[in-house]
Amino acid sequence: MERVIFHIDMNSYFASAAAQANPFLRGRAIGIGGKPGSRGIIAAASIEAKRRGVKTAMNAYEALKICPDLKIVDGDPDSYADISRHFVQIFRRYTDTVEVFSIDEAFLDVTGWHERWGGPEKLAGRIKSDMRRDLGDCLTCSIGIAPNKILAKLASDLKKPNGLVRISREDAIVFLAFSELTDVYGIAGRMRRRLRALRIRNLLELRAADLSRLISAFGPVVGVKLWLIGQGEDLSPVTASESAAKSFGNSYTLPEDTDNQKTLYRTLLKLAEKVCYRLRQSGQRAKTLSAYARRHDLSYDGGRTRLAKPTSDPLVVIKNAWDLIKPRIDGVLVRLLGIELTDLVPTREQNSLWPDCDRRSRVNKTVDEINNRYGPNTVSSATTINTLLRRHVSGFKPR
Amino acid sequence: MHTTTDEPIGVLVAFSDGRVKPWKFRWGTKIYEVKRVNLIHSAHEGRSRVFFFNVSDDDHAWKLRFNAETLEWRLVEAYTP
Repeated sequence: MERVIFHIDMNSYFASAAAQANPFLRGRAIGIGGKPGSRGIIAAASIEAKRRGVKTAMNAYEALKICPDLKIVDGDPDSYADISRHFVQIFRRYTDTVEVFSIDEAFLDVTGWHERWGGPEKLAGRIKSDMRRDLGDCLTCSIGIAPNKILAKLASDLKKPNGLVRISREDAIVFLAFSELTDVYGIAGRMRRRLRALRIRNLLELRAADLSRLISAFGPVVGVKLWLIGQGEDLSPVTASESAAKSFGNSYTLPEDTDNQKTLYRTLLKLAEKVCYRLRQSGQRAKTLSAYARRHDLSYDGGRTRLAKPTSDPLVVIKNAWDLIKPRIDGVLVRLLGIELTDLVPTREQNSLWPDCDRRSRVNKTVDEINNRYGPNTVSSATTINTLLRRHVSGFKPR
Repeated sequence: MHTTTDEPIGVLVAFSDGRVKPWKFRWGTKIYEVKRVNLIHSAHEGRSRVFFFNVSDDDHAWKLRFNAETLEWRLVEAYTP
Protein backbone atom coordinates (compact mmCIF):
# COMPACT_ATOMS: atom_id res chain seq x y z
CA MET A 1 0.00 0.00 0.00
CA GLU A 2 1.41 3.40 -0.96
CA ARG A 3 2.00 5.67 2.01
CA VAL A 4 -0.09 8.82 2.39
CA ILE A 5 1.76 11.50 4.33
CA PHE A 6 0.45 14.91 5.34
CA HIS A 7 2.67 17.85 6.15
CA ILE A 8 0.66 20.48 7.99
CA ASP A 9 2.19 23.90 8.32
CA MET A 10 0.48 26.72 10.18
CA ASN A 11 0.42 29.95 8.18
CA SER A 12 2.31 32.88 9.74
CA TYR A 13 1.64 31.16 13.03
CA PHE A 14 2.55 33.73 15.70
CA ALA A 15 1.01 36.59 13.71
CA SER A 16 -2.14 34.57 13.03
CA ALA A 17 -2.47 33.80 16.76
CA ALA A 18 -2.23 37.53 17.49
CA ALA A 19 -4.91 38.26 14.89
CA GLN A 20 -7.13 35.51 16.30
CA ALA A 21 -6.78 36.99 19.79
CA ASN A 22 -7.46 40.55 18.72
CA PRO A 23 -9.94 41.14 15.87
CA PHE A 24 -8.72 44.72 15.42
CA LEU A 25 -5.40 43.37 14.13
CA ARG A 26 -6.98 41.23 11.41
CA GLY A 27 -6.12 42.17 7.84
CA ARG A 28 -3.33 44.46 9.05
CA ALA A 29 0.40 44.23 8.55
CA ILE A 30 1.61 43.00 11.92
CA GLY A 31 4.98 41.83 13.18
CA ILE A 32 5.62 39.85 16.33
CA GLY A 33 8.61 40.73 18.41
CA GLY A 34 11.04 43.63 18.35
CA LYS A 35 9.58 46.82 19.73
CA PRO A 36 10.01 50.01 17.71
CA GLY A 37 13.11 51.79 18.92
CA SER A 38 14.49 48.56 20.36
CA ARG A 39 16.96 46.27 18.65
CA GLY A 40 14.74 43.21 18.73
CA ILE A 41 13.85 41.34 15.59
CA ILE A 42 10.54 40.48 13.96
CA ALA A 43 10.01 36.85 14.94
CA ALA A 44 7.00 36.46 12.65
CA ALA A 45 5.08 38.60 10.20
CA SER A 46 1.47 38.45 9.11
CA ILE A 47 0.62 37.60 5.51
CA GLU A 48 -0.15 41.28 4.87
CA ALA A 49 3.25 42.31 6.30
CA LYS A 50 5.03 39.66 4.22
CA ARG A 51 3.33 40.99 1.10
CA ARG A 52 4.84 44.39 1.93
CA GLY A 53 8.34 42.94 2.18
CA VAL A 54 8.65 42.33 5.93
CA LYS A 55 10.61 39.15 6.57
CA THR A 56 11.16 36.96 9.59
CA ALA A 57 14.30 37.90 11.57
CA MET A 58 14.35 41.43 10.10
CA ASN A 59 15.07 44.01 12.78
CA ALA A 60 12.24 46.29 13.83
CA TYR A 61 13.89 49.44 12.45
CA GLU A 62 14.36 47.91 9.03
CA ALA A 63 10.83 46.45 9.02
CA LEU A 64 9.26 49.81 9.88
CA LYS A 65 11.28 51.49 7.16
CA ILE A 66 9.83 49.09 4.57
CA CYS A 67 6.35 49.08 6.06
CA PRO A 68 5.76 52.25 8.14
CA ASP A 69 2.27 51.22 9.28
CA LEU A 70 3.49 47.85 10.53
CA LYS A 71 1.87 47.16 13.89
CA ILE A 72 4.41 45.52 16.18
CA VAL A 73 2.90 43.22 18.77
CA ASP A 74 4.48 41.45 21.76
CA GLY A 75 4.91 37.72 21.45
CA ASP A 76 2.85 35.40 23.63
CA PRO A 77 4.81 32.12 23.93
CA ASP A 78 2.31 30.55 26.36
CA SER A 79 -0.52 30.90 23.87
CA TYR A 80 1.58 29.50 21.00
CA ALA A 81 2.47 26.43 23.05
CA ASP A 82 -1.15 25.89 24.12
CA ILE A 83 -2.57 26.35 20.60
CA SER A 84 0.06 23.91 19.31
CA ARG A 85 -1.04 21.31 21.84
CA HIS A 86 -4.60 21.89 20.71
CA PHE A 87 -4.00 21.39 16.99
CA VAL A 88 -1.86 18.31 17.62
CA GLN A 89 -4.85 16.90 19.55
CA ILE A 90 -6.98 17.56 16.45
CA PHE A 91 -4.46 15.69 14.26
CA ARG A 92 -4.52 12.74 16.67
CA ARG A 93 -8.26 12.36 16.12
CA TYR A 94 -7.43 11.08 12.62
CA THR A 95 -4.23 9.05 12.96
CA ASP A 96 -2.05 7.64 15.70
CA THR A 97 1.13 8.63 13.84
CA VAL A 98 1.74 12.34 14.34
CA GLU A 99 5.28 13.67 14.31
CA VAL A 100 5.49 17.14 15.82
CA PHE A 101 8.20 18.70 13.69
CA SER A 102 8.21 22.16 15.27
CA ILE A 103 5.83 24.43 17.17
CA ASP A 104 3.86 25.13 13.98
CA GLU A 105 4.27 22.07 11.77
CA ALA A 106 3.73 18.35 11.90
CA PHE A 107 3.84 15.26 9.73
CA LEU A 108 0.94 12.81 9.81
CA ASP A 109 0.99 9.29 8.39
CA VAL A 110 -2.63 8.74 7.39
CA THR A 111 -2.04 5.62 5.30
CA GLY A 112 -5.24 3.58 5.56
CA TRP A 113 -6.86 6.07 7.95
CA HIS A 114 -7.93 8.44 5.15
CA GLU A 115 -10.21 5.82 3.57
CA ARG A 116 -12.68 6.21 6.41
CA TRP A 117 -13.09 9.89 5.53
CA GLY A 118 -13.37 9.49 1.76
CA GLY A 119 -9.74 9.95 0.75
CA PRO A 120 -6.76 12.15 1.62
CA GLU A 121 -8.20 15.44 0.33
CA LYS A 122 -11.47 14.97 2.21
CA LEU A 123 -9.58 14.13 5.39
CA ALA A 124 -7.40 17.23 4.94
CA GLY A 125 -10.55 19.31 4.51
CA ARG A 126 -11.98 17.81 7.68
CA ILE A 127 -8.84 18.68 9.65
CA LYS A 128 -8.99 22.24 8.35
CA SER A 129 -12.63 22.50 9.32
CA ASP A 130 -11.93 21.13 12.85
CA MET A 131 -9.17 23.69 13.25
CA ARG A 132 -11.43 26.52 12.10
CA ARG A 133 -14.17 25.44 14.51
CA ASP A 134 -11.92 24.81 17.53
CA LEU A 135 -9.25 27.49 17.10
CA GLY A 136 -10.83 30.22 14.98
CA ASP A 137 -10.84 31.55 11.43
CA CYS A 138 -7.42 33.21 11.55
CA LEU A 139 -5.38 30.15 12.45
CA THR A 140 -5.15 28.59 9.01
CA CYS A 141 -2.77 25.94 7.76
CA SER A 142 -1.38 24.65 4.50
CA ILE A 143 -1.52 20.90 3.99
CA GLY A 144 0.76 19.01 1.64
CA ILE A 145 -0.17 15.42 0.71
CA ALA A 146 2.36 13.05 -0.84
CA PRO A 147 3.75 9.52 -0.63
CA ASN A 148 6.67 10.69 1.53
CA LYS A 149 7.76 13.43 3.93
CA ILE A 150 9.99 15.37 1.52
CA LEU A 151 7.32 15.68 -1.15
CA ALA A 152 4.64 16.42 1.47
CA LYS A 153 6.70 19.32 2.80
CA LEU A 154 7.32 20.60 -0.73
CA ALA A 155 3.57 20.37 -1.39
CA SER A 156 2.60 22.35 1.72
CA ASP A 157 5.01 25.12 0.71
CA LEU A 158 3.44 25.44 -2.73
CA LYS A 159 0.27 27.21 -1.66
CA LYS A 160 0.08 29.63 1.22
CA PRO A 161 -2.02 30.62 3.02
CA ASN A 162 -4.66 27.96 3.58
CA GLY A 163 -3.39 25.67 0.82
CA LEU A 164 -4.12 22.04 0.05
CA VAL A 165 -1.79 20.47 -2.52
CA ARG A 166 -1.31 16.81 -3.39
CA ILE A 167 1.78 15.51 -5.16
CA SER A 168 1.67 12.01 -6.58
CA ARG A 169 4.79 9.95 -7.18
CA GLU A 170 4.35 10.44 -10.94
CA ASP A 171 4.15 14.23 -10.60
CA ALA A 172 7.24 14.44 -8.40
CA ILE A 173 9.58 15.22 -11.32
CA VAL A 174 7.52 18.27 -12.28
CA PHE A 175 7.60 19.66 -8.74
CA LEU A 176 11.30 18.95 -8.39
CA ALA A 177 11.97 20.80 -11.66
CA PHE A 178 10.39 23.94 -10.27
CA SER A 179 11.94 23.77 -6.79
CA GLU A 180 15.27 24.98 -5.45
CA LEU A 181 17.68 22.62 -3.73
CA THR A 182 17.02 24.33 -0.40
CA ASP A 183 13.25 24.00 -0.81
CA VAL A 184 13.78 20.36 0.12
CA TYR A 185 13.93 19.70 3.80
CA GLY A 186 17.29 18.18 4.62
CA ILE A 187 19.21 20.46 2.25
CA ALA A 188 20.33 23.72 3.81
CA GLY A 189 22.94 26.31 2.87
CA ARG A 190 26.03 24.23 3.67
CA MET A 191 24.79 21.16 1.83
CA ARG A 192 23.85 23.34 -1.15
CA ARG A 193 27.41 24.72 -1.26
CA ARG A 194 28.82 21.19 -1.19
CA LEU A 195 26.46 20.11 -3.97
CA ARG A 196 27.37 23.14 -6.04
CA ALA A 197 31.01 22.18 -5.69
CA LEU A 198 29.98 18.96 -7.47
CA ARG A 199 28.22 21.08 -10.12
CA ILE A 200 24.82 20.03 -8.86
CA ARG A 201 22.87 23.29 -8.86
CA ASN A 202 19.25 22.15 -8.85
CA LEU A 203 17.07 19.15 -8.15
CA LEU A 204 17.05 17.98 -11.75
CA GLU A 205 20.86 17.83 -11.71
CA LEU A 206 20.62 15.96 -8.40
CA ARG A 207 18.20 13.53 -10.03
CA ALA A 208 20.67 12.93 -12.84
CA ALA A 209 23.66 12.58 -10.48
CA ASP A 210 25.39 9.25 -10.27
CA LEU A 211 24.81 7.40 -7.00
CA SER A 212 28.45 6.34 -6.68
CA ARG A 213 29.58 9.96 -7.13
CA LEU A 214 27.27 11.11 -4.32
CA ILE A 215 28.43 8.28 -2.06
CA SER A 216 32.08 9.10 -2.63
CA ALA A 217 31.43 12.79 -1.86
CA PHE A 218 29.04 12.44 1.08
CA GLY A 219 29.46 8.91 2.38
CA PRO A 220 27.00 6.02 2.11
CA VAL A 221 24.24 7.38 4.37
CA VAL A 222 23.99 10.98 3.15
CA GLY A 223 24.93 10.01 -0.41
CA VAL A 224 22.06 7.55 -0.71
CA LYS A 225 19.65 9.96 1.00
CA LEU A 226 20.55 12.71 -1.50
CA TRP A 227 20.19 10.34 -4.43
CA LEU A 228 16.76 9.31 -3.20
CA ILE A 229 15.77 12.97 -2.83
CA GLY A 230 16.70 13.43 -6.48
CA GLN A 231 14.37 10.56 -7.38
CA GLY A 232 11.57 12.11 -5.28
CA GLU A 233 11.88 9.32 -2.74
CA ASP A 234 12.21 9.49 1.03
CA LEU A 235 12.04 6.34 3.10
CA SER A 236 12.08 8.06 6.49
CA PRO A 237 9.07 7.12 8.61
CA VAL A 238 6.72 9.50 10.39
CA THR A 239 7.68 8.89 14.01
CA ALA A 240 4.83 9.22 16.47
CA SER A 241 6.64 11.36 18.98
CA GLU A 242 8.16 14.75 19.34
CA SER A 243 11.73 14.59 18.18
CA ALA A 244 14.01 14.94 21.16
CA ALA A 245 15.97 18.19 21.34
CA LYS A 246 19.61 17.81 20.37
CA SER A 247 20.65 21.06 22.00
CA PHE A 248 19.39 23.78 24.31
CA GLY A 249 20.28 27.39 23.78
CA ASN A 250 19.26 30.87 24.79
CA SER A 251 20.43 34.25 23.57
CA TYR A 252 19.54 37.78 24.56
CA THR A 253 19.86 41.13 22.78
CA LEU A 254 20.80 43.71 25.41
CA PRO A 255 18.65 46.85 25.58
CA GLU A 256 21.76 48.84 24.60
CA ASP A 257 25.32 47.98 23.61
CA THR A 258 27.56 47.75 26.66
CA ASP A 259 31.11 46.88 27.65
CA ASN A 260 30.23 46.80 31.37
CA GLN A 261 31.72 43.50 32.51
CA LYS A 262 29.39 43.20 35.50
CA THR A 263 26.27 43.60 33.34
CA LEU A 264 27.60 41.17 30.75
CA TYR A 265 28.52 38.59 33.40
CA ARG A 266 25.10 38.81 35.06
CA THR A 267 23.30 38.56 31.73
CA LEU A 268 25.34 35.50 30.80
CA LEU A 269 24.63 33.94 34.21
CA LYS A 270 20.90 34.56 33.77
CA LEU A 271 21.10 32.84 30.37
CA ALA A 272 23.01 29.95 31.96
CA GLU A 273 20.31 29.59 34.63
CA LYS A 274 17.58 29.62 31.98
CA VAL A 275 19.20 27.10 29.67
CA CYS A 276 20.24 24.79 32.55
CA TYR A 277 16.70 24.84 33.94
CA ARG A 278 15.34 23.72 30.56
CA LEU A 279 18.02 21.05 30.35
CA ARG A 280 17.18 19.71 33.82
CA GLN A 281 13.46 19.67 32.99
CA SER A 282 14.28 17.46 30.00
CA GLY A 283 16.18 15.09 32.31
CA GLN A 284 19.49 15.65 30.56
CA ARG A 285 23.00 16.99 31.02
CA ALA A 286 25.33 18.46 28.42
CA LYS A 287 28.89 17.58 27.56
CA THR A 288 29.66 20.53 25.28
CA LEU A 289 29.16 24.25 25.78
CA SER A 290 29.22 27.07 23.24
CA ALA A 291 29.15 30.73 24.23
CA TYR A 292 28.97 33.57 21.76
CA ALA A 293 28.63 37.32 21.55
CA ARG A 294 27.52 39.70 18.86
CA ARG A 295 29.47 42.93 18.91
CA HIS A 296 28.14 46.43 18.26
CA ASP A 297 29.37 46.17 14.64
CA LEU A 298 27.20 43.02 14.26
CA SER A 299 30.23 40.70 14.02
CA TYR A 300 29.99 37.42 15.91
CA ASP A 301 32.62 35.78 18.07
CA GLY A 302 32.42 32.80 20.33
CA GLY A 303 33.94 29.53 21.33
CA ARG A 304 33.15 25.98 22.24
CA THR A 305 34.50 23.78 24.99
CA ARG A 306 34.14 20.20 26.13
CA LEU A 307 33.03 20.18 29.77
CA ALA A 308 35.01 18.11 32.29
CA LYS A 309 31.87 16.06 32.90
CA PRO A 310 28.24 16.29 31.78
CA THR A 311 26.41 18.99 33.67
CA SER A 312 23.18 20.94 34.04
CA ASP A 313 24.54 23.21 36.75
CA PRO A 314 24.50 26.92 35.88
CA LEU A 315 27.59 27.59 38.02
CA VAL A 316 29.67 25.18 35.96
CA VAL A 317 28.20 26.55 32.75
CA ILE A 318 28.79 30.22 33.63
CA LYS A 319 32.39 29.56 34.69
CA ASN A 320 33.20 27.90 31.39
CA ALA A 321 31.10 30.32 29.34
CA TRP A 322 32.72 33.35 30.94
CA ASP A 323 36.21 31.90 30.39
CA LEU A 324 35.32 31.48 26.72
CA ILE A 325 33.64 34.82 26.18
CA LYS A 326 35.59 37.26 28.40
CA PRO A 327 38.74 37.53 26.26
CA ARG A 328 36.59 38.04 23.17
CA ILE A 329 34.56 40.95 24.51
CA ASP A 330 37.11 42.75 26.63
CA GLY A 331 36.70 46.48 25.94
CA VAL A 332 34.22 45.80 23.15
CA LEU A 333 30.64 47.03 23.03
CA VAL A 334 28.42 43.96 23.07
CA ARG A 335 24.96 43.73 21.54
CA LEU A 336 23.95 40.11 22.16
CA LEU A 337 25.06 37.19 24.29
CA GLY A 338 24.17 33.54 23.89
CA ILE A 339 24.80 30.10 25.31
CA GLU A 340 24.21 26.70 23.74
CA LEU A 341 24.55 23.27 25.33
CA THR A 342 25.00 20.22 23.10
CA ASP A 343 26.08 16.56 23.28
CA LEU A 344 23.26 15.72 25.65
CA VAL A 345 23.17 12.63 27.86
CA PRO A 346 20.43 11.47 30.23
CA THR A 347 20.78 12.52 33.87
CA ARG A 348 21.97 9.71 36.13
CA GLU A 349 19.91 9.28 39.28
CA GLN A 350 22.67 7.27 40.92
CA ASN A 351 24.29 9.00 43.90
CA SER A 352 27.95 9.89 43.71
CA LEU A 353 30.48 8.23 46.02
CA TRP A 354 31.59 11.77 46.93
CA PRO A 355 28.60 13.51 48.55
CA ASP A 356 29.99 16.99 47.80
CA CYS A 357 29.51 16.30 44.10
CA ASP A 358 25.79 15.89 44.68
CA ARG A 359 25.35 19.05 46.72
CA ARG A 360 24.87 21.37 43.74
CA SER A 361 22.59 18.86 42.08
CA ARG A 362 20.43 18.71 45.22
CA VAL A 363 20.31 22.53 45.42
CA ASN A 364 19.26 22.80 41.76
CA LYS A 365 16.62 20.12 42.22
CA THR A 366 15.15 21.89 45.25
CA VAL A 367 15.17 25.28 43.51
CA ASP A 368 13.40 23.72 40.50
CA GLU A 369 10.76 22.18 42.74
CA ILE A 370 10.07 25.53 44.42
CA ASN A 371 9.97 27.43 41.12
CA ASN A 372 7.77 24.80 39.48
CA ARG A 373 5.37 25.04 42.37
CA TYR A 374 5.27 28.78 43.04
CA GLY A 375 6.26 30.21 39.65
CA PRO A 376 9.46 31.09 37.83
CA ASN A 377 12.09 33.12 39.72
CA THR A 378 10.56 32.49 43.14
CA VAL A 379 14.12 31.47 44.01
CA SER A 380 17.04 32.68 41.93
CA SER A 381 20.72 33.29 42.50
CA ALA A 382 21.65 36.45 44.45
CA THR A 383 23.89 37.63 41.60
CA THR A 384 21.06 37.81 39.10
CA ILE A 385 18.28 38.90 41.43
CA ASN A 386 18.30 42.42 39.96
CA THR A 387 18.99 41.30 36.42
CA LEU A 388 15.77 41.51 34.51
CA LEU A 389 15.84 40.28 30.95
CA ARG A 390 13.07 41.97 29.06
CA ARG A 391 10.53 39.70 27.60
CA HIS A 392 11.15 38.54 24.04
CA VAL A 393 9.01 36.22 22.00
CA SER A 394 10.90 33.25 23.31
CA GLY A 395 12.64 34.92 26.22
CA PHE A 396 12.01 35.60 29.87
CA LYS A 397 8.82 36.67 31.49
CA PRO A 398 8.97 39.80 33.59
CA ARG A 399 8.78 39.20 37.30
CA MET B 1 -3.76 51.82 22.06
CA HIS B 2 -2.46 48.72 23.75
CA THR B 3 -2.17 48.67 27.54
CA THR B 4 -0.85 45.92 29.75
CA THR B 5 -2.23 45.91 33.26
CA ASP B 6 -2.94 43.53 36.11
CA GLU B 7 -6.14 44.65 37.76
CA PRO B 8 -8.80 42.62 39.55
CA ILE B 9 -12.15 42.54 37.76
CA GLY B 10 -15.57 41.06 38.43
CA VAL B 11 -16.78 38.73 35.68
CA LEU B 12 -20.14 37.20 34.84
CA VAL B 13 -19.70 34.02 32.85
CA ALA B 14 -21.99 31.71 30.92
CA PHE B 15 -21.45 27.96 30.94
CA SER B 16 -22.70 26.41 27.71
CA ASP B 17 -21.74 23.53 25.40
CA GLY B 18 -19.08 22.49 27.88
CA ARG B 19 -17.37 25.84 27.61
CA VAL B 20 -16.98 28.90 29.78
CA LYS B 21 -17.78 32.17 28.09
CA PRO B 22 -17.14 35.50 29.80
CA TRP B 23 -20.30 37.51 29.33
CA LYS B 24 -19.86 40.81 31.16
CA PHE B 25 -17.14 42.24 33.34
CA ARG B 26 -16.70 45.18 35.65
CA TRP B 27 -13.43 47.12 35.39
CA GLY B 28 -13.32 50.03 37.80
CA THR B 29 -16.74 51.64 37.64
CA LYS B 30 -17.59 50.53 34.10
CA ILE B 31 -19.33 47.39 32.95
CA TYR B 32 -18.38 45.95 29.56
CA GLU B 33 -20.32 43.40 27.60
CA VAL B 34 -18.28 40.76 25.83
CA LYS B 35 -19.50 40.21 22.29
CA ARG B 36 -16.93 37.70 21.09
CA VAL B 37 -14.56 35.21 22.68
CA ASN B 38 -11.72 35.12 20.18
CA LEU B 39 -9.18 32.79 21.75
CA ILE B 40 -8.85 30.78 24.94
CA HIS B 41 -5.59 29.30 26.13
CA SER B 42 -4.19 28.02 29.37
CA ALA B 43 -0.80 28.02 31.07
CA HIS B 44 0.76 26.86 34.29
CA GLU B 45 2.08 29.42 36.74
CA GLY B 46 3.76 27.35 39.40
CA ARG B 47 1.15 24.87 40.55
CA SER B 48 -1.76 27.04 39.44
CA ARG B 49 -3.45 26.57 36.12
CA VAL B 50 -4.50 29.85 34.61
CA PHE B 51 -6.81 30.45 31.68
CA PHE B 52 -6.57 33.42 29.36
CA PHE B 53 -9.61 34.66 27.48
CA ASN B 54 -9.07 37.06 24.57
CA VAL B 55 -12.42 38.78 24.20
CA SER B 56 -13.79 41.83 22.43
CA ASP B 57 -16.77 44.08 21.79
CA ASP B 58 -17.17 46.43 18.84
CA ASP B 59 -14.69 48.98 20.19
CA HIS B 60 -12.22 47.16 22.42
CA ALA B 61 -10.29 43.95 22.82
CA TRP B 62 -9.23 42.60 26.20
CA LYS B 63 -7.33 39.74 27.69
CA LEU B 64 -8.78 38.33 30.89
CA ARG B 65 -6.89 35.98 33.17
CA PHE B 66 -8.62 33.43 35.38
CA ASN B 67 -6.69 31.60 38.08
CA ALA B 68 -8.38 28.22 38.56
CA GLU B 69 -6.86 27.78 42.01
CA THR B 70 -7.73 31.14 43.57
CA LEU B 71 -10.82 31.68 41.34
CA GLU B 72 -9.62 35.21 40.74
CA TRP B 73 -10.21 37.15 37.53
CA ARG B 74 -7.83 39.87 36.40
CA LEU B 75 -7.64 42.12 33.35
CA VAL B 76 -4.17 41.81 31.85
CA GLU B 77 -4.44 43.59 28.49
CA ALA B 78 -6.70 46.19 26.96
CA TYR B 79 -6.66 47.33 23.34
CA THR B 80 -8.53 50.19 21.76
CA PRO B 81 -7.96 50.72 18.02
